[in-house]
Formats: sequence, C-alpha cells, structure tokens
Amino acid sequence: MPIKNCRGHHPGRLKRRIAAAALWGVLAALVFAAAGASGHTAGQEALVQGLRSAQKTLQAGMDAWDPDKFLAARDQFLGLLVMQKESGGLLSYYVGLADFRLASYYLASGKTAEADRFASEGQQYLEKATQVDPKFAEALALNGYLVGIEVALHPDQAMELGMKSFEYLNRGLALEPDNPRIQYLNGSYLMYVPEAYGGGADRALESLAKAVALFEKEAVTDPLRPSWGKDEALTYLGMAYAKKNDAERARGCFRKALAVNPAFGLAKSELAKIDK
Amino acid sequence: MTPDKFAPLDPVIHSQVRLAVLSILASAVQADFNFLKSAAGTTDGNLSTHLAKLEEAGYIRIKKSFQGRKPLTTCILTERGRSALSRYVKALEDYLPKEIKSKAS
Repeated sequence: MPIKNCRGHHPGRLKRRIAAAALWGVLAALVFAAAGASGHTAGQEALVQGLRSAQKTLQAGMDAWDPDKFLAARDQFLGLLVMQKESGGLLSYYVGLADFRLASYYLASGKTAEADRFASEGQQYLEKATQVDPKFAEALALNGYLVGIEVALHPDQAMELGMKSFEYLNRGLALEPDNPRIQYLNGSYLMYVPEAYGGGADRALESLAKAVALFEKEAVTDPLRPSWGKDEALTYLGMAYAKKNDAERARGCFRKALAVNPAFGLAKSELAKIDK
Repeated sequence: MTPDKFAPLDPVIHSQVRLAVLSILASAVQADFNFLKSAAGTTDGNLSTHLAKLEEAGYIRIKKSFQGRKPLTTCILTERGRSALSRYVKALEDYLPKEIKSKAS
C-alpha cells in the first residue's frame, strides 16, 4: 500500500522525506519535548495539505464504497501520524476513522477477519486519541461504534461489548450533545441495535433528525477538525424513514443527501431502491 | 566531552532503516510491510533483513496473516523495543552539542 503522492512531489523524494521525518519524529518527541518545544507549528501548512488530501481520498472511498481508497487514505493518515505532526490526538482519530470505514466495509462484505482487524486497530488509535485529549468527544463516539462492530463479530460477547459501546457513545454525547457527527454515529448505530436493547428505527430517527438539524448549523472553520458526515446523516435518516414505510420523507432525505454530495453512492442506491 | 565518554549506541538500532522502522512503530499501533517499505524508502529484501534483526533482538513482533487472499505481514513494537529506542535516543542526545539542541528546539 504505497503512500499516495498527495502534494505533487516526486515519489522517491516523498519516501525519503517520510523516512527522514520519521527519524526526526523520534528525536522531536523524545528530545525536544523534554525541552518544552511543541514542534508543531513549523509543519502546520504541510499538515493541513496532507490532511485535506487524505480526507478527500477517504471521502472518495465512501462515495464509491471502495476499500482500496479507504486503505490509501489510512496510509496517508498514518504517514502523517508517524511524521509526528500530532495535533491533540487528531491524527490518531483520523487513522481510527479510516479503520472505522474499513471495518464497516469488511463487515458488510462478510470478511470478518479483516473487519475484526480494523475494528480492533481503530479502537487502539481512538484510545490513543482520547489519552492525548480525554474530552475528545468524537473519538469516544467513534470508538463506541467500533466496539459495536465487534458485537456483530463476537455475538458470544454481545452483552459485555454492547454495554461498552453504549458507554463510549454516551460519554461522547454527554461531552458534546450538539456535535452532529456524534448524533449521527449514535443514530446510525441504533439502527442496527434491536429495540429490546435500546435501539430501533424510532430511536435512530430521533438522533438522526437531530444530527441533520445540527449539520445545517455547523460551520467548521478549522481545516484540521473533522467536518464529514452531512451526506451520511441525511442518507441514514432517509433509511430510517424507509424502515418506517415513509417513502416520501425517505426520498426527500436521499435527494437532499445528493444535493450535499452528488457523488454519494449510498444515497444513490437507496434512492434507486425506493423509486423501484 | 571526549569520545571515550560517549554512551554506546545500540548496534541493533544504529542503522537508518531499523531506526526508521522503530520510530514508525513507536507512533503506529502496528504497520504492515508495504507501509514500512514505502515510509522507510527501502526494498523488499533489505527491509526483510532489517526486520529479522529487529525481531531477533525482541524489539518487534512480526505477524503473518492474510488480507483477503493476499499475505499480510504486520509489525508491532514490543515493550523491549520501545525501551531500547528510548535508551538509544537518550544516548544520542549526549552526542549533541548544546548549540545544536537549542537550534533544533
């Protein structure tokens, strides 16, 4: 899985830069941290560009539901992380986000060993992110969702893992109840949880509707902060309406999702399904 | 400081590729072979040799599995490897004059 040449540099030069930066990273972390230096601002612009490129690759993977793009994005995020341009646990979060996409993809494809690998690794990166910043609400919520994927993979541990996943999601929700991505993660997770265990279409719908309303008001100005999910929240809200046999509202949501992101494959296929 | 007072540098780590591998694994939960090859800027054969040395020293653990039908080799830094890396960097620090340290920071 080669690291994508995201900044238009010669690949060989990029490799050498990453290798050099990786070496520098150890010294920066262990030597200069002791001297009280953050080592972060100098590479800020490169970090923003690298992050944007990786986010774009990840979104392209989501649009086309393509595991190769998810893996390429993951390598880009991991490349940034090993270059030590850490930013409050944010890069660990993004690797965890790519792992979340991969675990979801492989779970849906029935490739359980791969799903397990990425769910487990993603949790470790998200734990790292919340070790750096214990109030990183989105990392907590995403971790909760990944634990939820483990429920599907290990039904013998469903009770224990189910409680753990709700604990993480609820901690995220308690910290940032008005974060649209957390409401979206909560809502989309509840879609797959049986009603008897606190899930179901009604509860999912409530959280997804809240997510959509919050996305309407959201304006992310910091390019490093997560800003994904509006198209997904609208699509999942449509799926929740479809589950309740409200085809008209479902159709409206899918169309809105496509207005936000015309390339979003899931919204296209769900709209086609309902228009059949 | 005279050369005979320099702290010894761990010969297992004192190679560009092996140091790069350890520093990558210090940041990542684990990394697969292709990622390490690309990030360390080396070849399959060269990386394999260096990984074997690191594994032999107990600094990394190598797992062989499959991703779909493709074989997948992943490497994880062990606690022993993490401690060795810290000691290496600390020892290396003793080699640096104060002016270089302050310029770099």
